[in-house]
Amino acid sequence: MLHDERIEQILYKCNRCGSCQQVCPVYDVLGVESGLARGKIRLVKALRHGELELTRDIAKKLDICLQCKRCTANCPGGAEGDTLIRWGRTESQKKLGVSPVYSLIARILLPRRWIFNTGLAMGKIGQKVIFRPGPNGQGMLPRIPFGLDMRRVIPSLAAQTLKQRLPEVNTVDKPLQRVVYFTGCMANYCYPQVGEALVQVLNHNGVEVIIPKLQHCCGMPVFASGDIKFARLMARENIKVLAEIKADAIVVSCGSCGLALKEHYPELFADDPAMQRKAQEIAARVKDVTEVLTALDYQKGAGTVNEKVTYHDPCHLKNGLKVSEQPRQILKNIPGINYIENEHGRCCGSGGSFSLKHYDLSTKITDRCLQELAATGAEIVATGCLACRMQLEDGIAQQGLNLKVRHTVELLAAAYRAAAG
Amino acid sequence: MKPEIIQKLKEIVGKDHVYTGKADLFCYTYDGSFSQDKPVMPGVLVLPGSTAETSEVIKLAASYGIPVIPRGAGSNLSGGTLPTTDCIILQMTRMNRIIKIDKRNMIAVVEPGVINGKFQKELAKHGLFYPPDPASLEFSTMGGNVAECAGGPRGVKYGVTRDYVLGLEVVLADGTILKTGAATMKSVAGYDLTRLIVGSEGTLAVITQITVKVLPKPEAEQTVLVAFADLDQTTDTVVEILARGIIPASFEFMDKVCVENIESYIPSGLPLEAEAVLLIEVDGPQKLLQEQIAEIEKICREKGAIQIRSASSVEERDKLWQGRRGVFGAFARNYATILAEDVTVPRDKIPEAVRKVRELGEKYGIQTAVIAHAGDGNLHADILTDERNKEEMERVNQLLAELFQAAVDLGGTITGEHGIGLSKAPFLPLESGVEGMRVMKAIKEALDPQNILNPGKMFGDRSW
Ligand SMILES: Cc1cc2nc3c(=O)[nH]c(=O)nc-3n(C[C@H](O)[C@H](O)[C@H](O)COP(=O)(O)OP(=O)(O)OC[C@H]3O[C@@H](n4cnc5c(N)ncnc54)[C@H](O)[C@@H]3O)c2cc1C
Ligand code: SF4
Ligand code: SF4
Repeated sequence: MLHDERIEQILYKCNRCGSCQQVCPVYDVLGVESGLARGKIRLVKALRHGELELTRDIAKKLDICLQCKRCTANCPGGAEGDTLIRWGRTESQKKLGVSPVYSLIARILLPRRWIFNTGLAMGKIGQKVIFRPGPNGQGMLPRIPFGLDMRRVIPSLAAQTLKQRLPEVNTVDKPLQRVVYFTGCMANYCYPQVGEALVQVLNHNGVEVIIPKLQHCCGMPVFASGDIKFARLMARENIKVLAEIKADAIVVSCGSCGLALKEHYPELFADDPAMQRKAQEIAARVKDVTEVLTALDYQKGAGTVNEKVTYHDPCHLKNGLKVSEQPRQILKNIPGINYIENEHGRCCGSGGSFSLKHYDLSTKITDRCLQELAATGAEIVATGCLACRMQLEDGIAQQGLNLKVRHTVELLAAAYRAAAG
Repeated sequence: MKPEIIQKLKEIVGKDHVYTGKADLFCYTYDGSFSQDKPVMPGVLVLPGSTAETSEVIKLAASYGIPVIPRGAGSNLSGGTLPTTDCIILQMTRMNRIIKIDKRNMIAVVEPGVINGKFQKELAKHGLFYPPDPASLEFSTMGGNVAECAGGPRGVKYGVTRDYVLGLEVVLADGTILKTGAATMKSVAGYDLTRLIVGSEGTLAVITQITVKVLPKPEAEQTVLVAFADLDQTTDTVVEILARGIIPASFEFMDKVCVENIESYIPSGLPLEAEAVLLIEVDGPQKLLQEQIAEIEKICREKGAIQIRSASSVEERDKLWQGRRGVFGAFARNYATILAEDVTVPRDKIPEAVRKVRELGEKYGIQTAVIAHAGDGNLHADILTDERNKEEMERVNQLLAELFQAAVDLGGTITGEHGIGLSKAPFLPLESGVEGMRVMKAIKEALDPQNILNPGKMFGDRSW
């Protein structure tokens, strides 16, 4: 079905019942209809049916959405708030142009590996020119007005990227499986230790891990902003790289990268059947790392990790990849871990560039999320997305909370290390 | 809306709680109802933070003669919060405190913006519960529930909202603050103003505080799912179970169209040859339930059930409820527009009503399905259609008009729980008659002589 026909069809799935009020994190803070999935969907309908003319005011409303897919996952009627809102954003981009913050992040920074790499090559000194250390010694604050909010804590870029630290092929004796690791920006540039842990735990389970050098940003921020042309460009590159490697699965350590590969790439090429087939072939093999692990005998060789742990569901992992049981199962099965569930499982408020553009709103959403996580009494928050981790760490630093955020695979890697002595 | 009014509103509630942007206001041209009318823009959105602020807003509105539409979660299904003219939307959701849970007296006091489901969760911590359980309870507000006199599956055993409201604090159309009722189970002092406000759909007063009675949470629940190959057997079963002194907490009925749609969407093992299924849930002390369930199963067998499944654990019960909960989603996969009507008839008239719905569906060439709260006769005649097909919508409208007449003829009502609002205003006289309308209008005129509170609702005529 053509993309436009599909949009029209899912538009009618919204019967304005209001059920999304219980899940939409933006509505939770703003408390008015224009912040709610239902309101934004109604605006999209009005734009499509000529009841309203597109204005900056409307574009702004469509902009206050985290693309968290909570409305979509919860909707009794099968409306897809996130998809409809993206359609509206694409229209705004076409008709009203691109916002400067967005264009800085999306069009210049993300698609260019070399900018990050050069920044890294400048080393710690180079980084301090642009960033200064954040409060309580955590993360870095941008020094020059990027057009980003100045309070934003950004994790220090790692001295060496993951791709510099690890070889392209990470093999084991008689591998049972061979997987491609799509690292995404966050594991590569900010949290290489997570990528290393991922490779360790997969290797431990007899899985060979390929880290293709030429992969780059999944394009989620570009896609979410509605810049379809650019998102296609980025998707095409990744599809080319991933299609060339023979592997049983393509694993991710970020829910958002996973969602991009699994759902968005096929959607991007809805009007180009040949490309769409390729995208679907890749999509079918995309798995969160915990999905791969729980299908194996991952409990073997796990030692004791004495920690109080809760788990934060990344929206894209839960509502997009439908992965939420697997990480919990792993955590609960690590000897020594005292697992404590949190009440609702709120959104962390990151939403990619949302947290940069709407810092105050995003912070409020983060605070509500952290409040609930802290109330569990856990000391470690495990999660399955590094964008969530960055957002949560930002909030933790601002509030001086006694919480650490870790990726599930880091805790499993620690368990294997503990057993090894 | 005049700038000076906006300015004054900002002074009353604070500028952060007044919205005038076009996009913001456009998002208040709809609610949960299905409307074929063109959207009408409100003039301003205001979110008061207290009773005093609410009163000031109403005084201001009264002095300029501007209509005010109280609003909760906007989930009503009768157009009760749709603007009909330039007006103030008064959204009560900022007033969302649970003021008191008094376990000894088993009462609770809440503000109107409290979400029913959140209230339930708080009560559960005290071993209590509030029986009215509309399917929208996870997002609809207590204020909206009271203003619509919401009901739910538990109605057959526990009654509806009006049976739990002991007292109210309201703001009248001139801004006066009035307290009605008392925080006691008994009170006969004067007219029952509390009940007058319950179900008044925002046309008589703005509710700012609600005192309700609550009950101890039942110890356990058990569920039985029964299928029948014959429609009359279901009603005979319902009547018989009640006659033997067992009052289930819910008695959900689904007809064969529901069963077919559910099975094609989330197969849950319902027999396709079933004409109807009943989902029966009993609650109370654990040791009584076993006996009750045995008795219910026996009655079902006697009446000719073709399938009986029972469950007591949470997971098993969830499985049995899965179909009922998923029925709307199942319809939504196959139909663009679903209108859930709520005509209600005496419970022994359900088979007749179901047949009438089918007959009308055939007559007008419209697909219909029936879900019902069988214990209290509350039918949800679902009209499965497509709003984009104008000609079909014309036939839907004719079908509905005949359905409402049929409900009244069967000794029932045109709305069991969704209210009159705008959608059913033309049909109210059908049920209330000339005298009923005269008395209601006299009450409205006495309390709201300028007709500024939710005008156009209930009485239709926009001057009213
Ligand atoms: C999926 C779904 C399922 C539903 N299931 C049920 C059900 O099982 N049973 C049932 O009875 N209803 C049901 N409803 C209808 C609806 O949820 C109820 O009518 C509910 O009580 C409305 O509450 P609200 O907060 O959304 O109020 P709104 O829709 O905002 O308002 C409803 C009416 O109340 C008035 N009002 C709101 N707040 C106040 C106040 N503080 N003071 C004075 N007037 C006020 C408004 O003017 C309006 O007339 C359902 C709706 C949906 C969408
Ligand atoms: S998006 Fe879904 S949940 Fe939200 S109002 Fe529309 S139909 Fe209801
Ligand atoms: S995607 Fe998330 S933020 Fe956006 S409308 Fe849906 S629930 Fe709200």
